[in-house]
Amino acid sequence: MSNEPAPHDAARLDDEYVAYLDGETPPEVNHRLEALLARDDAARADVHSLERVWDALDHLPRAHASTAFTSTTVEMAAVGAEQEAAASGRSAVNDRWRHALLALAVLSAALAAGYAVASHQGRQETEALVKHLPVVERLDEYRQAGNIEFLRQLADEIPFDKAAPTDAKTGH
Amino acid sequence: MAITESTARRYELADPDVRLMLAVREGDAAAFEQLMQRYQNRVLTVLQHLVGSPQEAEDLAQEVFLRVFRARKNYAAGAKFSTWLFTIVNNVAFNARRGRSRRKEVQVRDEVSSSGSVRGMADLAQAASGMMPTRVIDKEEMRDVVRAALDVLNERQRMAVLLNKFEGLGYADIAEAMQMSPQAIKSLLSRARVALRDVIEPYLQSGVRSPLE
Repeated sequence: MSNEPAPHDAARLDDEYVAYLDGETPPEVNHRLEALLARDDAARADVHSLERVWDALDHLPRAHASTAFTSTTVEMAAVGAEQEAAASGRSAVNDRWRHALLALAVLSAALAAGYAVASHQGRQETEALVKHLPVVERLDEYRQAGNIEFLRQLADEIPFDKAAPTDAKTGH
Repeated sequence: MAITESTARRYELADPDVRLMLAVREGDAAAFEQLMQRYQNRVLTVLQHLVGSPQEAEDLAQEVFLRVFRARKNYAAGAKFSTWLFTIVNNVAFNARRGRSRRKEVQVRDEVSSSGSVRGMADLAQAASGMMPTRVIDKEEMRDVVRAALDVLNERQRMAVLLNKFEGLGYADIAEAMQMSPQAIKSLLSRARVALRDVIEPYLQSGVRSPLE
């Protein structure tokens, strides 16, 4: 005969273990379960694995609303308030709502725009670096050349395609 | 169900978010924005794990807050604010699921998975920079395993798990938010944890991912 609990008992035990871990068992069940866990290795292992699995859920990522989320939602609420006002006849309260919501929406949008501008500036710096990459890569050589007039004179006297035959072969 | 004055007063005293919502009812627009700031990421997290797509989750979260706003005039403090709010989240998610099943759309997770090209780029960048600590890989892999485990749950189980784990709601509050009995929630969470264990435990034990994924 097997010592395994019947499926119904196993399910009931799982219910109790989970409720125990969630702090949702009454004191008398707590005492009974704690006595069981003190003497039964298998029960202890079961509870421990349920606990570990629950802790693993901490790895799930948390979402973050986009910068425009608040302002667009508040704007939509303002539109809703306006429609309500139109439907039920304008009142001072509705006007106050609409104005307050619109002011909030503008403020939120300004914050979102500020954030966007700041991140855009960062992007522009990166884009400028990428655009001028050929210059950046040879900056040390250009610095050694001294000044632009010298380079122009050099270019006039010895065209670059003749001065560097090996580079011309590779196209560099 | 009618809410008695003493119940309303109790929640008003105990829960600052109830007080904010009462201020919204009285026409305080800044209180509405404050409530949004306090809850938008939490609502979004639950919805994102429920529906998968970040864009759809954001649309639904917006719908949730607009419903809060529309309900302001009839608001009465009959529960913690979070319980009331997540009742709305549950209803909005339920309606979205129903609409989706009508359209027979396939649920696709928009988030980049471990096999996705963006993730591959991130790995390459890390490798190129000479910083490839094992724990980073483990963390990402663990996240994938847990995400896959959540997908194994049915939608009610997933909602109950998210409310319990992320929102710290007790069985009674989850029952109220999901319009079920606390006993049913107990059973739902138990089945959910056992199902999660079937997927996650093999990975925790040996690093082997379950074929269920």
